[in-house]
Amino acid sequence: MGHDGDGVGGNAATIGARELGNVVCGGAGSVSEARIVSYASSPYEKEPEHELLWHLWTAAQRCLERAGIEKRDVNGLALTSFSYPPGNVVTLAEHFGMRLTWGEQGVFGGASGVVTVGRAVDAIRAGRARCVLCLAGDVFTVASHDSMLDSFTPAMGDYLAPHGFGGANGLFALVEQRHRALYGTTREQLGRVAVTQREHALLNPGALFQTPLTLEDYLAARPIAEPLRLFDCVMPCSGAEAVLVVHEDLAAATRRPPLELRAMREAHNAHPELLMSLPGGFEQYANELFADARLGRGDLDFVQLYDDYPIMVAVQLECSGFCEEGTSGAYLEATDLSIHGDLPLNTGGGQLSCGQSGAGGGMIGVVEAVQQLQHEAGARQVADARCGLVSGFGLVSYGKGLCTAGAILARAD
Amino acid sequence: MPVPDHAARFQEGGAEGRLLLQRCVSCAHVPGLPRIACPRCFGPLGWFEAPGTGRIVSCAILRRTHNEQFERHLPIVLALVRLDAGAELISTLVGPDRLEAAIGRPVDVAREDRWSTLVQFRLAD
Repeated sequence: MGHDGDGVGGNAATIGARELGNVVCGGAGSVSEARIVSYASSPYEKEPEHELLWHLWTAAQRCLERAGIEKRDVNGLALTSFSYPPGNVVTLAEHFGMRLTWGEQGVFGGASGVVTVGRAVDAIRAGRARCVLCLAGDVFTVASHDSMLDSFTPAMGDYLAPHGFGGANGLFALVEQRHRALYGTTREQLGRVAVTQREHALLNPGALFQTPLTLEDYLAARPIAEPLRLFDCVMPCSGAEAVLVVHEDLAAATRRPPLELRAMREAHNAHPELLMSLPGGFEQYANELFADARLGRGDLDFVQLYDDYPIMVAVQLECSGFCEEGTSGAYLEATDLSIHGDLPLNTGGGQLSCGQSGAGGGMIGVVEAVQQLQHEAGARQVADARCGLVSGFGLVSYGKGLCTAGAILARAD
Repeated sequence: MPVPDHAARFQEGGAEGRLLLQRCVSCAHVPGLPRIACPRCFGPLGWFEAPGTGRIVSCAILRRTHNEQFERHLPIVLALVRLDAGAELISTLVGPDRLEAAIGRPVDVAREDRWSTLVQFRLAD
């Protein structure tokens, strides 16, 4: 049983298990459905002004408040953070004073946001939790992020750090250079990702980058790890993201637009013998993901693709079946990726224009998707958005990101 | 007595400018990075000194490094090398001509101008 009634407290005004009685998390044989009902972010900071726990608390508190849920009603917690260890999801629960029947530590790098939301839905369906808060965030600067990467995985510390390898920038420069050589992909084509996402960021007050970016700016930017230049690289920053997943009965009580997870798939170490994310692993499950969701690629109202680099957006478009292998350059050229276009991409600006709040970068796409589907995205709202794809990608190690995940979210009403 | 380290000979080879790699005793797979067991068949691995030749699969020119100890080696040329021994490695190229690195160009293990504790490569003729 997910809920013992003890941690709910006696506040009759609380939307919680009290009014739901014993129906939550049912008995043997009953199938519970999960709904995503709320989202929030902490204010992103280029230079740290607050500690990590403040960011996590701020995102959590705003997320619960939006849903009208009290902290004491949360009985499931998922956490992803690179800078919190040796703390983990359970020590955070202790710090927050949360009694848990279920916990999940995201260990999949930038794929953790998608994976933990999927796990939360599973837990609610299985009756092991009824109100799950999924958090991800970090406090980073460029310098602290770089030094973390030197020991991010055992192989990076042992075999890449002694080469002064340039962090993730160096590794994804290898991917872009290979893609260019194999398929003739151009900098102008990839630049469309960065430029379009910046246009979206200008409509998102939460994005750290608030100045327009032209293709000329992108092409002429300072080289970092050639062929990558400055605007190919995310800026490490501080921030946290939160998503709330609850039992459907509780969802009804929140009066929030209910969303469902139509499908979620993951793949880890998809290509044991490759040293580059080319292909990236997304192709392992893309068709099953859409089949599970009973949706086609053309049905999507938007895509929130993990955007540590424009080249990885391009690789994902190929691997996820939006275009054929090797044709993402032409696809980017021919496709309107804007909010009003053919395939609205990273509608809040993505990590490239919001900043990468460490592990929060793996959740920012989920948060943006939820906000879009609940029709609360303001100036950047995709008209009548009903469903969308979110991807995660991460745990970069010796040459490649080891983890990928994809989810399709949709309105449930 | 120290506990044996599965990667020690790779690291020692790097210090000497030699390419020491593992080969699977059962299936002859050459995994590249040191492993405790063959990632293909899970069998035990033995060591051999591989010819240091290969070709560039991809490369990048690093204009900055976050680690001060490597700043004097900038620009650093990072390369993914397909070794003739059958494995791939990510390494760095050294030598005054390293900026001429290009996909497909042959490389060899570097014996001069080395600065990493691991095996580095140079453009071959």
